[in-house]
Amino acid sequence: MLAAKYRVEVRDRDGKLVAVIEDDSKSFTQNFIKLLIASHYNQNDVPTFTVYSVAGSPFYTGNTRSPYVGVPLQIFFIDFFGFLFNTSFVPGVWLGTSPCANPALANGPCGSVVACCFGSPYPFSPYNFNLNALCYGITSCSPSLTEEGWTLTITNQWLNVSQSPVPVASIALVSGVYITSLASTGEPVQNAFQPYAIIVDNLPSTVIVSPGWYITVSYTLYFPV
Amino acid sequence: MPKSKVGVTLRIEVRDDKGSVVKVIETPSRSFTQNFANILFASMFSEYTLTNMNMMYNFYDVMGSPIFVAGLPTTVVCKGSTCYETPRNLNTPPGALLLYDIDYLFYSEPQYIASPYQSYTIYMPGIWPGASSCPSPIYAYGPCDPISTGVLNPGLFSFTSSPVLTASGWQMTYSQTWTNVSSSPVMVSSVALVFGTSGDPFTPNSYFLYAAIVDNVTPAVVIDPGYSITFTYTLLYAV
Repeated sequence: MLAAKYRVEVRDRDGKLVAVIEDDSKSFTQNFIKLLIASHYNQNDVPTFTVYSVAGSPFYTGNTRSPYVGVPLQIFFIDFFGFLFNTSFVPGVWLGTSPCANPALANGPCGSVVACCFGSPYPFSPYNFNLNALCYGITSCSPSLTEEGWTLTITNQWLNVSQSPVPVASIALVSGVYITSLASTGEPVQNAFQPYAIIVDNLPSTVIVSPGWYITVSYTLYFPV
Repeated sequence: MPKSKVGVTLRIEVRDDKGSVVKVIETPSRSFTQNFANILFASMFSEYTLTNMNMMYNFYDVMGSPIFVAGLPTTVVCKGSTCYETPRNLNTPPGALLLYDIDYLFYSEPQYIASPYQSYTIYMPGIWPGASSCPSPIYAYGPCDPISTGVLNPGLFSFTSSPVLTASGWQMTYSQTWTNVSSSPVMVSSVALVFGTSGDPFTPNSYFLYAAIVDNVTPAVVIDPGYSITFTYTLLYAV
């Protein structure tokens, strides 16, 4: 289906553009494909795949191993409110300090995850989110029909709030699913939100973002027409 | 399209009554539908966000019935320290089907025939044939003039059951064979990849059939009595 493109812009504290990288995305992840396949089934026969969250924590499709996601629903979930509910996660494009050995098999951006969330200890803080903006300002609310097909663009702007330059070498488009764990009694006990990477890419060269600078990262997905 | 040009390929094989291949067509698929795009976008958000932001998506199922995805039917209004629930004015047509959110997006199994489709021309997820070509496939609700299962009898709808990584990317394959059980030749002029979608407040066993992809078959293919036609959609996710 589905192709994607990414664009990275770095701006200094005055808003001046200092770097732009635009390229075809290379890697939908294996984790995403497993969730996609499982989403075709019903609760009674969904296969058991091991899927990893961005943090590398395993969970399972189906209901036979805990923690489980059952039949994955809303695998393109990019809801700011939904992410924030009981977490500090921010949906969209997360950043890592190192390239990934094999992005298609990576669980998220590699090295240290430096942009993902609100608050410390992360050097990047989300900048363009607005609870009052339509679709929180991170994504188009409705599909656009272009010559290249239906497009979906997700954009995050991250501000380096630390005192040090931060390298960015890999990026990931992150969605999330709710998983259920079993208590020792065997009863389902909780729904925990697990972020997972739909796409992971290495940047062609590491980008350094100085303190007070912004990095804007976009993914555009194309559904051919 | 990015250079990987990943996309969708449609392969059509026609076999005679002895199983010999008599025709093969392989062509790039042209059209993810507007319905698919709208359902995809709706699925990105929770019912609470759809409610709070007054967002509403609509799509049409394969029968052309409109379905709205608009969040909760009521909202909480507070005056001072008192809060109460009040109905939202959604301005949907009277009797319109309303979903709070989207849950299933790619439901592909025929175990349960959802009630709206029990007497429809075709009633399960799959790759559906149509007798007519569609004027604009991206806006079509399904194959145009869908062919009754009493004429073209469906085989099992199969789909990829574990990740397949090829040199071109992750490959998802969908396939279905239909056999002409009538006594007359049948013309196939369009085809659609049909999934089920559902959302609250409906149960997972109650889904809406919608066309994610619609393509015209050009030139049209004629299936003689006893002959079969196999449609295969191959979707590639870039790697």
